[in-house]
Amino acid sequence: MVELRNLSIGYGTKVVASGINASAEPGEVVVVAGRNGAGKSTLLQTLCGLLPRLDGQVMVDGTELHRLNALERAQKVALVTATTQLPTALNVREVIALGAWPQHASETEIDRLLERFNLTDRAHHRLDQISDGERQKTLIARALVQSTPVLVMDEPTAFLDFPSRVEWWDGIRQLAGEGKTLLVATHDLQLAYRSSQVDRYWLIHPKTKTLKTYRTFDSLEALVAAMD
Amino acid sequence: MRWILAAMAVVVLIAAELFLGQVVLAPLDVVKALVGASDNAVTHIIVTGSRLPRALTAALAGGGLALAGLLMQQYFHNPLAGPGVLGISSGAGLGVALVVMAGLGGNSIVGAAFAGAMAVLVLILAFARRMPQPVSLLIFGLMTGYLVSAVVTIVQAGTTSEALRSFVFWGMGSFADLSYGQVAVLALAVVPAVLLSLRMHRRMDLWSLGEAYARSSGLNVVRFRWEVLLATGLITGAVTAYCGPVAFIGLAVPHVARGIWQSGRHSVLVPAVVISGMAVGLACDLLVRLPIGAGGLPLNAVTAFFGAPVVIALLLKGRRVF
Repeated sequence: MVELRNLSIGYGTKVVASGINASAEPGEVVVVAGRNGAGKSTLLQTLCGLLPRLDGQVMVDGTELHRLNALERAQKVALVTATTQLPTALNVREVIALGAWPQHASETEIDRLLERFNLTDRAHHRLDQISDGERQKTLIARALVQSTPVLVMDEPTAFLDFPSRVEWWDGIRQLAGEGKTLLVATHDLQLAYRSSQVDRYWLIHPKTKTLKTYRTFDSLEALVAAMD
Repeated sequence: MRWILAAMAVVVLIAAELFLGQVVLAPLDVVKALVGASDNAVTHIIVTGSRLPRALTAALAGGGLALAGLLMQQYFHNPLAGPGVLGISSGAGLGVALVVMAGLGGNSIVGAAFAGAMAVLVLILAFARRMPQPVSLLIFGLMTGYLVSAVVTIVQAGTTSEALRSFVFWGMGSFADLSYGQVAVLALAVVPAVLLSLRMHRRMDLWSLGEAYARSSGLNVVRFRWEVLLATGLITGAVTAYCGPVAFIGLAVPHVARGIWQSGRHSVLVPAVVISGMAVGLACDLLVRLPIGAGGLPLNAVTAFFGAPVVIALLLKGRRVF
């Protein structure tokens, strides 16, 4: 379970959003949305411990995230970002295995994930030799090997083509189905909404610099209107 | 197979360094000289006093510079990074410029180069905390390099032509004329840096996914950065002090090793780059020793003739250089 208690986020002295109170249960899919610059990525980076919080607390399963060291935090929250290229020459299998760092991943688990994400015949291809969709799947598989209760995804569908995006959103429940809390920052609101897979929307309002939680919307228009 | 060929190349090149030169020696004479059983004093001096320390220097400096290049390219995620990007060789250059222009020479050049290199390294380490982004550190290194080079130019402008000539010769680089004591100091810098890099191999794999993934996976980035800077600084400082600012080996060899070994794993890349660097260092030195021109070819001209085409060839082949 994720709980944000009176959280303030930002960079240095610049406050992006404050007074954030929100929560998400295990197995839930949470869409983090807002206009450009509202602070979606800032929030997700704070939730991963990549940015320090300005105030308040981030609780994961009852533990305050920012009191943990980097390695302990990595056992609570895993990250998936949008990426067209990573500066690595590692192959798919090696990247997935790194999810277990500093331990070594079990070969059986990697095989299982390769099969699950249809990457078995890509296992020995480097990340620049596979498609954007396959690369995204590889990074999700890596995050799953990290075996955390929370998975944070920052624009995971940004570089996917339209059919892949539809497929991705329709299949997102399978990831959350493992009892993980999925926090997904996205601009693909129409696909997220259409998929009926979202349990909560965390909307960051740029004017008030606050975050509001919504369980559902009557229409896509209502969702868009709520963002202002 | 690749490892065996690479090891054989190093052995053959070391042998060539010992056998070949202005005086071509018979293999048996070389072996006798190496084990101290030579009945010819001149052969003994040529082999143990000149060619052996030179071969060891070329191998150590070549392997070390190549590793420093790999560390910088991987740390900065930049295929054009090399041992020179942190400004450490420029610091060594300033030390040498000051000593040479003051009319000193010999061992003081080595001491000044080492002091200059270490001064820049200390400066980088001192400021590293304030620059959490690798790219900031890269720019800091480049700017330090420019500033130091500017000071060197000013010093050069007000000096005698003889001193200027000494500095220019130092700038050409050379693996020659090191004593066994100096080779030992070089080894004391390069070998621990290699061992440290081998110990870091999985962390370097993780870092290759980018800083966000490395940090969110629990990597202690501060400690990682210190270790990378320390290994690179040790190698670059020591090699530049003894051999001058040797260019291109650090930049080109990691690309060659990536091309041959076709791996992104640093448990493979680190030893592959070191052994390739040793081979390239030795091969370049053999070319330097060819009887061309007044005193043979300058080392930095040979390394550039090797390095630049290699990188261009990789690009033309369409192979990803990084």
